[in-house]
Amino acid sequence: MDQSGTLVNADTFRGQWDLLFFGYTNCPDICPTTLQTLATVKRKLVEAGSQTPPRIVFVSVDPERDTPEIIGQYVDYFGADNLAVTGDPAEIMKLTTALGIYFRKVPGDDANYDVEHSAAVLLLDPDGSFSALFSAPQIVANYLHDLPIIMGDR
Amino acid sequence: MRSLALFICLFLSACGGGTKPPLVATGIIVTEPVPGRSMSAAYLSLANNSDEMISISRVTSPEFGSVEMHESLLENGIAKMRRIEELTIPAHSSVLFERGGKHLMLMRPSGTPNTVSLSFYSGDTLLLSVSAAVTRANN
Repeated sequence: MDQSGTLVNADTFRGQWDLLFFGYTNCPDICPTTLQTLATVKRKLVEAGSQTPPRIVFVSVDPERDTPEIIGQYVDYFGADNLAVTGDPAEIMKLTTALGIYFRKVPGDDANYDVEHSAAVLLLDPDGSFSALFSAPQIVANYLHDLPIIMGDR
Repeated sequence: MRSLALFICLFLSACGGGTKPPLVATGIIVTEPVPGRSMSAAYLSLANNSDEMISISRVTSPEFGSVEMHESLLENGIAKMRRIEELTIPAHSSVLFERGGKHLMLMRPSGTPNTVSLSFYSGDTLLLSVSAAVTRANN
């Protein structure tokens, strides 16, 4: 489901370009840095005149802790139109497996744990089909170079 | 040559008979927690100006319940996090804490501090205390 509790299905990813990032909100470094990188990319694309900038989609790989309310607050901080996805762990596993995204819980101190996860960002086209993969580290300039070329084909 | 040395001394304003502090922090960035979250990160460069290796085993902050040294690693496309129990800085070397790499993980803030103080220890010996203003994580 998304941050408003609406069920996420194939239709969710139709109608716009989507940049999907997988992470968790208890992550202080990579996750906010990547979301901010994607937000900067989107802002610069709009400034350059893009009418159809990609939507930023944050998929939680820690659905046990990341409730819709928590991920909603989280993604809102990086931009008003961002979509956040969490839900039943089995459903999240289905989605990430289908997209080739790996994640695993790593026990930490006491009850705390980290989640290691694929750091790639996926681009889905307006049909909801896989279009491109941006491997980490995520660099703004790479997106500004590649996205207009890829999206311009459509 | 002497005038050049004098110039460097004036420029650095660190000569004048005083000794340079052994451990110096520069470029400190402390990000605010994302709304609803109780953790954030700090980044900085730590320079060891001494002739001895410096090891940091503990970092504390009065504004946070807990501070840990962490390192984000990218292994075969997988983002992982490793806790650094002890950080060693060789003599006359620097260690950089930066986004996507080493960082201080700040946990359990007391309120919403505008300024954060950080103290670096080797065992029970205080090596350095610094403070920095908190910046947004989304700019």
